[in-house]
Amino acid sequence: MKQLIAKLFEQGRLMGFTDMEVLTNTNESFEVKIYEQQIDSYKVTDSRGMGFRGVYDNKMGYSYTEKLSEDSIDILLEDARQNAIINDNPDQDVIFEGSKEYKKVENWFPALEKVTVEEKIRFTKDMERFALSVDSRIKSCPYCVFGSSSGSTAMVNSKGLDLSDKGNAVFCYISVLAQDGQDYSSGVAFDFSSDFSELNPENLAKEAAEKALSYLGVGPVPTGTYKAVMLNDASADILGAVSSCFSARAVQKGMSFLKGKLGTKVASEAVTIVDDPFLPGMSGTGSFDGEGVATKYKEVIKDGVLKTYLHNLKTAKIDKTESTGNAGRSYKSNIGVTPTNMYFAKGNKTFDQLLETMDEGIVITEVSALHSGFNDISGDFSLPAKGYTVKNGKKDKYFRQITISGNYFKMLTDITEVGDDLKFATDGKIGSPSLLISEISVAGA
Amino acid sequence: MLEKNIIYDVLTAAVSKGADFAEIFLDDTVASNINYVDKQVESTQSGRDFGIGIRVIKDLNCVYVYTNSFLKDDMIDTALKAAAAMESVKKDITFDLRKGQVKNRNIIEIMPDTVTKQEKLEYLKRAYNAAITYDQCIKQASVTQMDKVQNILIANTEGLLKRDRRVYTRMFISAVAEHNGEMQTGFTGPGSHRGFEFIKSLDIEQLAKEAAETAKKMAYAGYCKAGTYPVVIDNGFGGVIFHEACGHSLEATSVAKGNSVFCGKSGQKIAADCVTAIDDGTLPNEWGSLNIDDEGTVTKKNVLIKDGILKSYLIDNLNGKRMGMPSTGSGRRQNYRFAPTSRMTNTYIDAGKMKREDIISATDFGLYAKQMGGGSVNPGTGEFNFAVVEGYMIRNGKIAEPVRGATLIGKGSEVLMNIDMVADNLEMAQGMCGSISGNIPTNVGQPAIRVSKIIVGGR
Repeated sequence: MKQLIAKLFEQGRLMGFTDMEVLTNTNESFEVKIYEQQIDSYKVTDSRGMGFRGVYDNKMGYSYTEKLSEDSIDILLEDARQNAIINDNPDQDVIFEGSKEYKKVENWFPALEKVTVEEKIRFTKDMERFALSVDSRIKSCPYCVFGSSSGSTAMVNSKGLDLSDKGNAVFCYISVLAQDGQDYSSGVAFDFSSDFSELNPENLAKEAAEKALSYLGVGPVPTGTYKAVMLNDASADILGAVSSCFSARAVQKGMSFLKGKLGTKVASEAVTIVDDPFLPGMSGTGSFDGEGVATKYKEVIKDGVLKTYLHNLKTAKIDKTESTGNAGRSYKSNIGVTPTNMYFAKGNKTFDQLLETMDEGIVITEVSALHSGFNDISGDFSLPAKGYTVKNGKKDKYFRQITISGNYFKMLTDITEVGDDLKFATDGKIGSPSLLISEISVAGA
Repeated sequence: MLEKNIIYDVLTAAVSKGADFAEIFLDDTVASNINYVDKQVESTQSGRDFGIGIRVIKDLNCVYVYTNSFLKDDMIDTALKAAAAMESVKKDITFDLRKGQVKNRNIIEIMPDTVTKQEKLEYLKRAYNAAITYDQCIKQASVTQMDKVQNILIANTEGLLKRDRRVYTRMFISAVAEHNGEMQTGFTGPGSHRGFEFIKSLDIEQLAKEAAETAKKMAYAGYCKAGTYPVVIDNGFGGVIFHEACGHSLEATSVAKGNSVFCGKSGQKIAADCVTAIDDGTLPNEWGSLNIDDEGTVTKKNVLIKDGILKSYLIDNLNGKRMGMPSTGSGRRQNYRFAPTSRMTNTYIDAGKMKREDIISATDFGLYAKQMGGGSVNPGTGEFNFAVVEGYMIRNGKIAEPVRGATLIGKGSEVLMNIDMVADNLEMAQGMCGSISGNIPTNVGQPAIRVSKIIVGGR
């Protein structure tokens, strides 16, 4: 690999590139899917890719390849040169010489590599068996999956930067289908960890099964405006969909609702949103970003006030500030802006206390259609949801087939309490506790 | 791409520990894209995706492995990993690789890699300028052009050896309108299984104008009223309703394991009499078309529903084995990183006889969904949802004020029965469909239809 990069830089220089950089991602993964106690699918992968970028005629050009061999060098350089030639952007990306210091992150867990395939398969079979045994109305588990992956990112550039991070994790996911007569209902549960022994197949199976059973035979609640508790899972999913609004690039392009709102109150005082690259074992964790800048902890919203956008080197230069270490890049992409691990800071009420405080209202347990029902520029949303009603501070009746709608940034100002039950979404980087919201619009019966 | 004797050795290694079947999918794809925002090139990328996926099957169990390595020894190692996972009593499999001819229905005139980036950029600039100058309320526009040439080789231990090339070209234009501090977007995204001639054939200015017009209309629109009432869904991308409400639930991926509401309903009435629905991968140069699917099976025109009666599912080889039915040429995957499974190609509700205008005038009160956004479905329960990008209320049989923020939700089995009018203006539109074998290009389509009642989410 070292030889290949040296040769690439050498030929690049001859071609007229001044500064150059190579980003290499490698990944090994394993995934097993069980269906009716049989191995339904079993996947083992080994992949790598190389992204190149270089400055040609003072302009940056990008290219990539998954064929890591010397015969790819010419194409990589020529593609990057072509892309540089048409790059008329007055604000150019730069090749970075390195930060003073990089914090060590805890993202590699040697014990995970010792978990055997047999253990993984047994875990997955257990998960399915437990789910099917919960109730006779549980019909099947359409997805019952266990996976593990380990990967590395390395960055080398002609300004002497030479960085690498590696990480590994395991995850599991189960979806359960329940049937009662002609009515069907599904429920899912997932978990991920850096410690295999922390995953509990029985609890996950029960969680998914109970979710599926709870919604069997139920219909919508009446259309109207409700007080609501947004469950941690649902809130984390929505934050993931809106996270691009915090990108300084989106703001600079006029494609974020948060444009012009820096230093102003954009949420209720109960709200603090953090971007933290140092959480051990999370998928947004890393010591350097996509440009090689050292990552850092920051509060994006503190007590309701928007403190900072997320920056890379280019957006920071435009705004005359410093990079926040949020340059995003995979070997296939240009430099962008991305959160590391972003989440609502915990409050101090338990979930049950949130229900008691609300007294009457609804709990939104699950939302879907975030890719279509969410406008990530304006924050407008209209999303199918499930949940249950709350009476006298206690769970009352389940419902489904409703949509909730509103504007996310209006909703942020309507948050009156934040729970202590912080949970991260399936992507392992966006998290939220449950939130108490003073009003939410529901379309139902 | 790969020598026959290497293919043979890799396949032999893959079945060396007792599998029934092994398959190689070699994928060598060259992709390019340019994104133009704010009168500047925002990003531009070119690259090569390269890898080999090996699938090994024994009975109904499947092992899938892939690697980016192009070295014979690495490929054989990878194949042996798959073989080891299937370890059982070895049986002797002998096969000859017979090179199969692929009939090319998708003729390409201008290979995208023969067009310079500068030339491509000119089209982006034209689209950007047309969108941004449409109206003062248009504050931003973003235009992307992408193209992809996918070269594949499929070989298996039944002796199949086929190569094919798929060329995709697409243009996305989005415009952002601002009114009273609120932002709304409009979008057009035509795509084709063609080369750069497709971009040349487009009326770029008109497409940009359409995107800007939607954004403007929605920026000035009020919110849609929540409730349950009739909805007239216009042609083109409106077909996403069938895609989500029904198409996914007809895929053998769900049906073979009994996880679909349409299981065991073959020959039964599942939709209103006016509904005939088709999945056709053979249409020349359409976005979802393929000469052969990703298992090497020649694609077909599959009538899914005829006059309301369920006629066919969408089936791949492995699920076909589970169901005791032959493949319908529906085995698809995003790339070498995915094992194939049954997926849609170009899926549409067939044209009826009514005029769209007559459907509107027959509707006293309702929603006219001119343009649809994306959606999703849970195939197990049939629950679907999708977003209305551009909508209008219908009052007294006439199209009235524009409304935004509407979402349609329901159950596939119910909405199919509630389609009560079908117009004659069949049109297709392009989308990317995501499922367990990745994101693939698919067409959705329909003429204007009316659903007599559906839950409309709004405010």
